[in-house]
Amino acid sequence: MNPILFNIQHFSIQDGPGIRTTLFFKGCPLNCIWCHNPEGKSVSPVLSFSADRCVMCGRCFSVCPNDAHNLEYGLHNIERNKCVACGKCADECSFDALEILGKNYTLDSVLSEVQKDSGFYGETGGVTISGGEPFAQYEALIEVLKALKQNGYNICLETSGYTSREKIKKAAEYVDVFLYDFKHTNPKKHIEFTGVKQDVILDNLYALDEVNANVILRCPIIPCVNDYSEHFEGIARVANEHPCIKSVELMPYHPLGISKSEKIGIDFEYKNKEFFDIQEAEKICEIISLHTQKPVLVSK
Amino acid sequence: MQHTNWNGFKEGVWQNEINVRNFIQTNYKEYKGDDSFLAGPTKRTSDLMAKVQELFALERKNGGVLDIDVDRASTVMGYDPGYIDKDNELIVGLQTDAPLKRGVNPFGGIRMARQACAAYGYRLGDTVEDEFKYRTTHNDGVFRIYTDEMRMARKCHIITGLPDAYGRGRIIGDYRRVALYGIDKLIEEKKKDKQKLAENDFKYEVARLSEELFQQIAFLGFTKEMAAMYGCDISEPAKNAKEAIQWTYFAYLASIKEQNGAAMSLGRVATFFDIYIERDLANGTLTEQEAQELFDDFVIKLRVARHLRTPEYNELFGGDPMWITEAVGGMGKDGRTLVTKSSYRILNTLYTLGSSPEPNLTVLWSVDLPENFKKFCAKLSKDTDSIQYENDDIMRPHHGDDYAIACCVSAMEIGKQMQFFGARCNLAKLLLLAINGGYDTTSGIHIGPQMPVMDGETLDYDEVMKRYDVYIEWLSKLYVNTMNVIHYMHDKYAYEKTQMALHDTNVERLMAFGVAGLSVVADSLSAIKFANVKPIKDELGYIVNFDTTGDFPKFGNDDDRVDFIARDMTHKFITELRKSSTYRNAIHTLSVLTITSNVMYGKHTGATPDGRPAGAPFAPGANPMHNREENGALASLNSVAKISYEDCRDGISNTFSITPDALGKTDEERVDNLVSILDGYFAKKAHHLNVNVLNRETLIKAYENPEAYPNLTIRVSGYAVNFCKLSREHQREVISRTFHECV
Repeated sequence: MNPILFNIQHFSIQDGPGIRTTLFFKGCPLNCIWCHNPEGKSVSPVLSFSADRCVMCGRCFSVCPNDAHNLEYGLHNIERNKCVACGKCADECSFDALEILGKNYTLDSVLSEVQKDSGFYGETGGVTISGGEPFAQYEALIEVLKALKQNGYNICLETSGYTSREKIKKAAEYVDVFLYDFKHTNPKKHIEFTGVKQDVILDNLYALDEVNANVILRCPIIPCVNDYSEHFEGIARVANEHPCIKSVELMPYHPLGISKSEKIGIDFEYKNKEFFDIQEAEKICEIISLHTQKPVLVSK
Repeated sequence: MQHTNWNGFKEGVWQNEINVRNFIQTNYKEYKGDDSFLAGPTKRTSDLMAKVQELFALERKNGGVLDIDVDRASTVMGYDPGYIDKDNELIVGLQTDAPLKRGVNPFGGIRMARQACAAYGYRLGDTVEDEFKYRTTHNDGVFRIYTDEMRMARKCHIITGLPDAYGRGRIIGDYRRVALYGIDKLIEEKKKDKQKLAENDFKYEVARLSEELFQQIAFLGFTKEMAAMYGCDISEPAKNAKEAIQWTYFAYLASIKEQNGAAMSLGRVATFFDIYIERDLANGTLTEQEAQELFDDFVIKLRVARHLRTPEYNELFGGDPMWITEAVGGMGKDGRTLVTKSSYRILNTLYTLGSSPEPNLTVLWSVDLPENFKKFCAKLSKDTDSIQYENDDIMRPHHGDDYAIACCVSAMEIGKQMQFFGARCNLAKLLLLAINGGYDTTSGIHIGPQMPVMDGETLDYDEVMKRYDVYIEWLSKLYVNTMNVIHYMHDKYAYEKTQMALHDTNVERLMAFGVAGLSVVADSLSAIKFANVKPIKDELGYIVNFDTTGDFPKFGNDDDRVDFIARDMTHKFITELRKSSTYRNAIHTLSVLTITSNVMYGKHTGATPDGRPAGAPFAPGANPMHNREENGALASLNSVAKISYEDCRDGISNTFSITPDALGKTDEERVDNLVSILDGYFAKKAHHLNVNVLNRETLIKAYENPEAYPNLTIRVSGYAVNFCKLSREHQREVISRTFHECV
């Protein structure tokens, strides 16, 4: 099965050690209100429109088979219910204002994209698989993992952990480091803010303990969602509980998901436009460090 | 031959012939350790540097020039000794009698000298005006024999930056010879060479060389006298590290007093000095602290070196540069590294004296360099943005292991090769000229083969290429001939007497041609090939703009379809250049380098089929056009790496900018990742990389002037973005956030 990716990032520094290539798998069962990659939620391709690049040339209007493009109060408007993301308008646009996010890649094409960067990996770098939630395309994920491992690449897998025990254990056969999200300590709030229960996620960490996996626990810090001491202590508790967790990384909130949502015509629930204060995040680091011996650092 | 000042050195053929390389190879001690041995600045150094900083501030306040001596033409012995702080200087010697006071050098052209004085509110003195009234300058000579077509090509800016009114530069004397052998020995050898010429028939070439040798000998004598004015007798070899540095510096100083060449590079001195330092350390006459002080003082002298330039020159080469390039590191042919402790010491001046563009410290990178040294260099890049990297592994096979870099990227074997600098031609403009059948729409000049303007609803790739080939052929011939004129006259009226005295008598000559606008041309041809390019004509029927529809691959995205267009273009151009013979049988070389003139080139170029509007700047050097790199920094590096060094033996310049956060989370990670990038890039046989790890200030500059930072990648929590692609609002956001981090 071929994976559907919404981006291949060719110079990735923050998603695991060294210089990496990150493959963004499309599709995610969670519904985090602050989601910074909203274009990764649905598995199917989606049309992205950057209004600031549009010069209103009107070429897209004429090629759209469903008349999804029109003018409304003198502005370029897209009727999302008509759009089937066929990409004809994006092909026609000379200004990169329109773009289809989500493309079917063959294994070979994935490998050749990775190959372009491999000269820069040095001793520590490699490939990171992110999303979306990679387990949403489980069969494709395993095939990509197998192929990457056969080529000797170091592999990181970024996941919410929201999958089955068997699947995560299977993936662990190929993965060098898991970048494992932990979003909320409180079970009820977890459902409220992410749309799913946390028990599966917590349980899978035991599965990773059993197979001696290497895990970096990644914790988004979202104002008014989880930026309080109960959760910070919870992070330390989870880190202490699992031998597989080698370190903790805090991911301070940034508002760039907002404009991405606008581009794909999704209403963004969490309208905080402020970057999370990095010094504040450093303080949180110190608080968590009071409760665990494992390294805690801020991802900038 | 033996000399007491050589005691302690290992014997070799260097004792019987002028052979600095052999001296280095038999005596140097490679160093693979880390930087922990380095000493910081002494109080003396810091006080002296503070004085220099004050002078720099005054210079800036005065509009860029502190003072000009308008009453004499700059010569080796023309000025009384000058000092920054006489009692506290370890290495002495200034170009004029006061620091940052500029001399006037009218030998390249009196008009330029006059204009340069006027630009800063001075008037060239009557003595100089009178003296040069009846004297032929290089500039006079060139214009006596320029053909009409050469003048037109110059006027319409298809070939620009020609060294026809100023010193051509790009010549590196082997300044180390003065330290190793003393002036007297060098004079003696040159006299022998001159004597030997008597065996030949005195045809033009022999007579010319004989007169050049006469001049070389005279100027070696002047250099000795200049040193004597500072109380130093440089007739004998240097007897310790301090003398070795001082003697070498005197040789360099004499050269920059005599010549105002565009780039006056230093060579490769650090490892040479290291041999003297090791000897002094071993016999207890020098400490590590004192060794660092010698380097610090030497580098301070290099930082105050200045030439007087016109504002037009500054438009081409912004920032008042001298390109005092020092090549550091590299590997030897025998597999030992040429990195020594002094490679660290000279780089360490960026810490002891603070970061600086001059001297232009250039690391010769090899995958085999010691890991510790790689990391030290990466750390310096991260901290100072002040060093550049060039691929030793691809240059060594051509130039051996004792070559240096002139200007930015031009490799030459020290004392054995010299270069005829040839500025560059504008490939993008040439494309437009071809399409318009020999009419330049920006200047209104008809030039080159005259043909009808290309017709048809859209431009056809094969037709355009056929046309372009004709114009490349035409321009190549004109370009080579123009260079021949310039260098004939430069040799005749502004010969580099001191620098050539520090070369072997029989040198190999390189003629360095250049191209600008490579990425514009590659993208334009790609647009014509893969999209629809509809020409738009003005009322006279000339094509002045293009309506380009549809997508096309753009250089900088690791896409062979367009990258090979760029690669093939350089191959085609050098192949055409080689068809015309050169003055003094120089070897044709080619660079893809614009320095800062990419803005000026753009200004004189109409709209191009890639969608670039008329007058918009080109990307610098071989860089992809800004905002067209959609696949990130590594893809951009991969694209540039495809241009072959074999075709561009004068260098392929690439500038890489990155924020610290985009390079890694911790300092240690940033250093490791930068090493991985450099190793990866150079393993692909790429030639050169400027590395900017940008701090907060640079980010603000990028906001104000995004064209200058095409590769700037920033990290925002979970992912990386190209800074230039962010909205203005988000750019501001990111800047304010970075401020925050720095508080």
